[in-house]
Amino acid sequence: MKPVQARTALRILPLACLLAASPWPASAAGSMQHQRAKDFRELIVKGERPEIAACLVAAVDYARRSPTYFDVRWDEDASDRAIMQESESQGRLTRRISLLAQMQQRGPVIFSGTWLPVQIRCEQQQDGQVQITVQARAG
Amino acid sequence: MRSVHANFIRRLAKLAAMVLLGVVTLAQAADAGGEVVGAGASFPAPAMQAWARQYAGQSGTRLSYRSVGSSEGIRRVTARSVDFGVTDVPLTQAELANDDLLQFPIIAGAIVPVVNLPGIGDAQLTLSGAVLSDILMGKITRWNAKAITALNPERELPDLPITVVHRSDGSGTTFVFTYYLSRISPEWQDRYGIASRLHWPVGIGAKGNEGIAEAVRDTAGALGYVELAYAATQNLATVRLPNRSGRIVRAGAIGVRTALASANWSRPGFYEVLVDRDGEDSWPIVGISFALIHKMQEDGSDALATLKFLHWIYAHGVDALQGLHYSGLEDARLIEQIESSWTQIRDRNDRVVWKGQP
Repeated sequence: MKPVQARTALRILPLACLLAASPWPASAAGSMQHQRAKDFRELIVKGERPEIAACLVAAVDYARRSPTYFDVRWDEDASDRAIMQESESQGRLTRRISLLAQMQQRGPVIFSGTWLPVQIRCEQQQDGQVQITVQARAG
Repeated sequence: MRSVHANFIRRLAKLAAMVLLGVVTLAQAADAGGEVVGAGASFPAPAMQAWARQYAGQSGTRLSYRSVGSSEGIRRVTARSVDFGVTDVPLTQAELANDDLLQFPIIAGAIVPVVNLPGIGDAQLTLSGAVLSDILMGKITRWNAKAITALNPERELPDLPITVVHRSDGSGTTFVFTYYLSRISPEWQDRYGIASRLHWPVGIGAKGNEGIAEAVRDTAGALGYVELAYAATQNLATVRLPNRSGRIVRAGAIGVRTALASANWSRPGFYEVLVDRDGEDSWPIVGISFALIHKMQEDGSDALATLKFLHWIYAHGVDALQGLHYSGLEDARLIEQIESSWTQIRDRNDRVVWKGQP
């Protein structure tokens, strides 16, 4: 290898490593998952189901703050398949939303973690903030 | 050759004149002001059109309402491309706070299953909530199935496949309809839940209440769900349902008013969904349309024009609803509470826009 070619190869090596470690092409099962807008207002403007938008935002916040996970992504039809239930007790409402997603585990290198199938459950008491739980599920 | 050339020039001049006329007309429309623009739920669209006609006659202010579905209405008001949005999917306080929105009810109406069945007229077919949800889940597929004939022993039901027609757009009518199905059928609740848009197990999609009404009208064996005004307009046969007290009832103004009387308006943003309510005459699926408006307004005069229209709805709108099958809001205390909430709306100089009577 000529010195110039070697230098070029060295330059692109980190990028190639990053791409190889990138989970997008490799780990998706079935239809391709995609990132969503991460802000309530943006989700609404993009046409998201209004009743589940707060849960989607909460899931993104959860992944950002989690020591276990790094990021979240959803199947193409995840929002149409999300299940919302609402119950009333003594005039007060509780909303529960369940949806399927994938969360990327934190790895030794940024973007290197594996994507795990998870079930996200959001619960919101009337006037309250969204409480979220994330459970790994069988792929 | 010369005449071809002259013709071309004449056509070009004509085209230029038409473009100029169009530009002038648009500019005049923009200058005219006095226009309030709203968009959202198709559910109250016939009422909005009736209100628009009367309000323009009385106030000189033009109201333009686009029937685009609740989700799109929320989207447009969020994007600030309209003066107000209308949704039948009520937003919670947390959702409203995310975008600085104020929400309050403006009208209620019956959501009713409709069918196109040879030999079956209006309110002649009875279904139960459980049978309705089994049809929508694809578990009952023909009109002469035992579960349906058992509820209609006096009717000769045809051996026709059931074609479910559902909404393809994000819809408050769908939200309230699935709210009812979730309340009645544990299986529906577990598998599909409450949704403005969902992955329907069976059926064909149509846009807006208008789209469903037309698809049911044109398809023998179809079953859909619409606001009652659309059923009346298209002469569709409505279905009778049992209510919470066990009575088999048909959709109508009394049923809506009875359900409306049970509403709990004490929640933030007047959040309320009226399904499966107590009351002998209560219709079990009642939709409420809510107006959405931003608390922070760039232009106070635009916001004031919107609020004047909404104030007019509460003061005079009920009279304009004659024959339209809706129920306007008439509870004076509720209206006072709603208009008090408008004092939260401020212009860019932080001045309160609504100061009581217009």
